[in-house]
Amino acid sequence: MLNWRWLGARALGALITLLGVTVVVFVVLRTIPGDAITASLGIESGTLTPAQRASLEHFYGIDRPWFAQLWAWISGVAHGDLGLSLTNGKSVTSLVASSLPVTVELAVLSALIGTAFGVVLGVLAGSRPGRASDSLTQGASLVGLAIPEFVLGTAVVTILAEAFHYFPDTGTFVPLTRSVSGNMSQILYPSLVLAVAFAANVMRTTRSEYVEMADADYVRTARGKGLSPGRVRRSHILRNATIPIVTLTGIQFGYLLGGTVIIEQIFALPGMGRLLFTAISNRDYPVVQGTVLVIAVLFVLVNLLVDLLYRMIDPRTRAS
Amino acid sequence: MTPPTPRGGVRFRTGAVALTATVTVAAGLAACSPSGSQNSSSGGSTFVVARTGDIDKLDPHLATAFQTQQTLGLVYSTLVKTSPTGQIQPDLATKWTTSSDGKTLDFTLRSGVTWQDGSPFTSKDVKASIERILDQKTGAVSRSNLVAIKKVDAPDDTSVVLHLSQPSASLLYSLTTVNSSIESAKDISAGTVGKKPNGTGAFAWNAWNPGQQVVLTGNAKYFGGAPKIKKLEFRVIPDESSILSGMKASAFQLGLISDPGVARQAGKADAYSLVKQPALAYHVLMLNGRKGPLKNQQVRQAISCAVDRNQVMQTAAYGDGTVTGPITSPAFAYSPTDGLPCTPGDTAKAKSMLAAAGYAQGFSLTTIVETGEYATAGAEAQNLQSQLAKIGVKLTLKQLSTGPYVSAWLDADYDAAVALNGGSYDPFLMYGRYFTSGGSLAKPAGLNSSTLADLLTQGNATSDDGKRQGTFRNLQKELLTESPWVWTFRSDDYYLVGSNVHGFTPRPDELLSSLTATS
Repeated sequence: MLNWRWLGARALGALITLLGVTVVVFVVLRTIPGDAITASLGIESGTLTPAQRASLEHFYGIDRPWFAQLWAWISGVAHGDLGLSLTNGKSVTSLVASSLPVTVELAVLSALIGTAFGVVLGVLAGSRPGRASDSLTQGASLVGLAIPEFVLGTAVVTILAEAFHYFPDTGTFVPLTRSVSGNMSQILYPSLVLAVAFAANVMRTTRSEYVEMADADYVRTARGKGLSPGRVRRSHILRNATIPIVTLTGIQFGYLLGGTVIIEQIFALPGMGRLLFTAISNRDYPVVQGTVLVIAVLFVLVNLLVDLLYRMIDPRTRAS
Repeated sequence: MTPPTPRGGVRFRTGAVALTATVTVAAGLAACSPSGSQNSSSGGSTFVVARTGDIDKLDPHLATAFQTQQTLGLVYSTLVKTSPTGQIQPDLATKWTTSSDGKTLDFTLRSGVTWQDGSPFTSKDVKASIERILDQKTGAVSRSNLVAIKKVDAPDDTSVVLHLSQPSASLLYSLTTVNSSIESAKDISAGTVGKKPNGTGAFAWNAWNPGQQVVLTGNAKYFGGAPKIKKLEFRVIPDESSILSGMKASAFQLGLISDPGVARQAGKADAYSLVKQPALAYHVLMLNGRKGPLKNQQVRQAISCAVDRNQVMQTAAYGDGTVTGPITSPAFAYSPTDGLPCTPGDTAKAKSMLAAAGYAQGFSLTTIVETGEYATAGAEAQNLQSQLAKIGVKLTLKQLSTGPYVSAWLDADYDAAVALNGGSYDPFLMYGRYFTSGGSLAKPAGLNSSTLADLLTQGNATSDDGKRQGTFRNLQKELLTESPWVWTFRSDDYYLVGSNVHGFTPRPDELLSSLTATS
């Protein structure tokens, strides 16, 4: 049963976290030398007359004191308005709304593929520790963890082009609801690349938990009672090994929501990472602030979801 | 003893195999899906140009990113334009005359031209556009280059007269830039400029999906003839290696890259050809002649003499490019070394010059280097560091991202700066703002020189080609003698041109105007 006091405390903590993130991002952005005018005009900003500069500062909304800018932005957020992009004049809400589904889908698909492969391979390795399949799987997981995403992503794109004359579709993003095949042609390959490290992490955790649980007294008892190997694995080993796997999956999923920028660059996907990267380069303050806030909200939500899952999986945690 | 573990590994192996097979089949199907396959070829409906960056504005008067200039340069026209070799040619103006005192320019405009919204183009549009650029509230990029214009008259629909405060030969060149595009007077008065581009160029605005693509459509009413490309898409592919892969898979018709390393990987392929085009932009080590030892001309000359330009180019750009002197304008090509008291790379001579200047033990220079903006900056800096170390000049490299780099440079808060500077078809536009008295970038340029200022002023004051050639030849020589900076090389721009693309010709100024004649 849901503990409302616990949930309320978590929600309050989340709000404080989000406010902290907002203020930190706001301050850090403004301590970096240069502003939207410098980012936009480069050295040409040095050719502006004082009147031209004043006009542009007003245009970009950076002629007001920083606390007035911060207050205006927080007030806007409270009313659901994330502001307008300084670069293209579009609403930040619309920019986030178009890029968020890309990143969420990328993260979900990567997590699904990574978790499926990670658990299956982890059990495969853990069920026969020390055997060839174990060594092979562990070796593969080390390689998966060691290869940087940009190397793997570039290699996939290059091999597809060289060997199969194929390049993943980089046109307008096709939502899953419009065309499954069209969507997959854009999302599947980058998801596979992201899933490699994800699977490697899950595999290693699954294997170690599996080996540890398989040696537990209650497992020996269950086996002694004559339960089938499959039932022993599902009900007594995997179930107890699930909590660390869920924790790991939740944390990794959270990082994926804000950390897909390199893969989005390589596969030209218009996701949150690219939106944030471009906005930082352009000193597009409202977009950076809005994007970071949304990523932080998602991260907090994923953490909350993981905590809720703990309580469902392991009744002992409800007491605490 | 190894504890017994539940059996069933076979079933899990089967599961693993099934999972792998499922993902493999899905990947194969994704590759076979219609939208996952390639774009239409140039003979089809869409011509796709892949490039790493997106446009950042829709107002040509404010555009500085070259992606924005490339795109809006196809939508808008200018009064006059340049040929690839830098000759002034008609665009919206069919002819022009300059008064004998050089203070009045009379333009005759093309008749029958319409804006992409269907309204007629007249001299009122030209007057409104130039006045908008000159208005300080606009923040227009080319204002400083057009500031000699004191009044614009539009006596009839096809005539425009510019009254200047002083003769300015560079003014015509300034009018050729995208930043001097002619906008509709109606859009200017309605305040809609920068919201939806409405030009008189070969392509009409269609759509902008920020961060993904810009789509233009061929303007059937273009006064220069309807382009063969009916639909033109600029697609943002942030990674140059991905652009190369896309070209190999024939996913794009044209790929724009700048990294010599990627160009080297491109090699030869059936799907495309690699075209190299020397750019007007030049690589340079700027010296702050207002600081420490660099105030001494002999010291600056010694640094200039110590640097083997070809070695910098070989190291940073795999030899792609051209060793250059200060002026890169194609019509003003002079010796890159005439004026230097040595042969570049002569370390012994450089050391003796430093000793003669009283710096035999050398000194250190804080050198700012921009990271992330262009591919060769780091390699150039390291090579210069290694070459100058031989004469005892230690470059302390300070790597900065664009914002901090630009801020430090504009504040002249540097001893030396590794830079890639834009060039121009007109030498005055290249150096007037750095080395004339009151030049808008005189402070960061690092040197006051009345000789340089006089030569620039003289070159800009006459339209006589012979006099301009003589003056700018002397300017180049004087720049090398005074050595405010060390000019190294002009790099190549790289174009991956699809094998089924015809008529595309790159330009030194990186504009894509030949797309109007490409099929």
